[in-house]
Amino acid sequence: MDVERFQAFLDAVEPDRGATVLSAAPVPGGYSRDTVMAEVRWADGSSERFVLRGDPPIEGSVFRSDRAAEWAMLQAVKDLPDFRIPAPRYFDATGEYMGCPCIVSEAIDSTSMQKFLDTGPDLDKAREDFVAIMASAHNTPLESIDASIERPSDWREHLEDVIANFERMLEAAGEDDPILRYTLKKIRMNIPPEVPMTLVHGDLQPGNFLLSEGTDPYIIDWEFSRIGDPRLDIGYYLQIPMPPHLYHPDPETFLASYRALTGLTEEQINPAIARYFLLLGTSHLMLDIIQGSEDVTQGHHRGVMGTFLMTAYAHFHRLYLDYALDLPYTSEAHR
Amino acid sequence: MITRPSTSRVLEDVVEELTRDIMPSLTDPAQQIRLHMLMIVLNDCANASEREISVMRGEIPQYLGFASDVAAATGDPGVAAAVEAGQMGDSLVLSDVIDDYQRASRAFSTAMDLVMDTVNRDFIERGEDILRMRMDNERAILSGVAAVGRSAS
Repeated sequence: MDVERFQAFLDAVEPDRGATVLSAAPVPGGYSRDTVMAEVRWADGSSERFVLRGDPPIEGSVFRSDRAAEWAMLQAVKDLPDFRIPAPRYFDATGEYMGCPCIVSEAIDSTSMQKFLDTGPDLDKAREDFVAIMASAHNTPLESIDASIERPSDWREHLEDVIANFERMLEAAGEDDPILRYTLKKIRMNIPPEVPMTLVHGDLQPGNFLLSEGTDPYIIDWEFSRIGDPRLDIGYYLQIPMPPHLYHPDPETFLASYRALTGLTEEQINPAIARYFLLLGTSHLMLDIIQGSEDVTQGHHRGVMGTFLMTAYAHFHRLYLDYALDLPYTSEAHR
Repeated sequence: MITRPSTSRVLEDVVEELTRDIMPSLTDPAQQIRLHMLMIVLNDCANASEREISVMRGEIPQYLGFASDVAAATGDPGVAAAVEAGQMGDSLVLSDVIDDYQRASRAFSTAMDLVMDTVNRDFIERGEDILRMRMDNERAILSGVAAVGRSAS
């Protein structure tokens, strides 16, 4: 994803616009995809900036997601009224030009909500804004999302598929991780009440919200998005380690705001159920981390992430045990 | 066998060299982040090299003792078989100790599954204490989450 490759790509997809790629600089910090910021001048004198998101080589990466599925989701949500995303502009599906499957989106002049939080704003207001953005995604009517996006046939089937991530972890880890086995058993003992399925982002955190002057916030990084249980996004956010956290200081207020915006009941989402969904909402990442660890064990190089993510393995291990220990041995008492 | 410096000390010294001389010479932020991540990995390896065999050899009797007591109390043949298969060998070679550890962990999990299924409170409490011990030992070796390079921009 360098200047030459992007130039060749634009020459192919926009042959009449006379693109000149002025720069293409990697953006460090992503743990999953490679990201490049590029600047382009068109023949009519206008210029644009683009964000290029591509797959790192398999021998240098741990997290797995499908660029074609991400592109399809971007197409499905790009014009929805409830929230904004940076306009997806081009897709090199095969990597013929860019060297890897790559999505090209418009770049937004913006500040991430995480960076904004670092400036010491009113955290009560920030929490309300965060919840409102989350709810805007979850309130999206499913009938407005293109039918090409896969829908689980029912909630229970969907939940079982997510729970099965723990079985996949155990298979990858050789079935002998007592903490994962214990966690899986407690998960199965505490199946939560059903809720309507919604759009689920899969990596919902302040770092993936872009704040831009004069517009509604943008939501980025849709690689793990799907249709499913919205509480997966809440549980996922609980484990985000970067301060300041908008949930942990006051879970009841956070969830009361969420319920008011989404119509879920206190039986359906409360602090205990949010903690339950940490276990499920992170399971797709933990599965990739464990698979990466197993790959390294088998002698396959997975880049710096293959070994560095042992820190995340330990982090999730600790969270899983702590949260699973809190779950009761009956199917009652989610409170 | 050279024991001075120990493997852990060698790794710590490598990290010091990377910190003092290599890191400052890197101008590419992406490479700086990668090096920082690798230094965390090396520090964890230094920790692990110091005690991982000892930790595993210390935990194995806990797992087998628990599973053995569950087998005796319940008469469950599956747990008894897992205990039988999980007996620790004499070798202190790391790969052998790992094999022992995995077999003992499997015996523990087999027993824990049973007492959870039957909600045997006494054994559950004891098993959960063993899981906490395992986690404490893991925490002492691995540094835990470090959001190195996570961009806020």
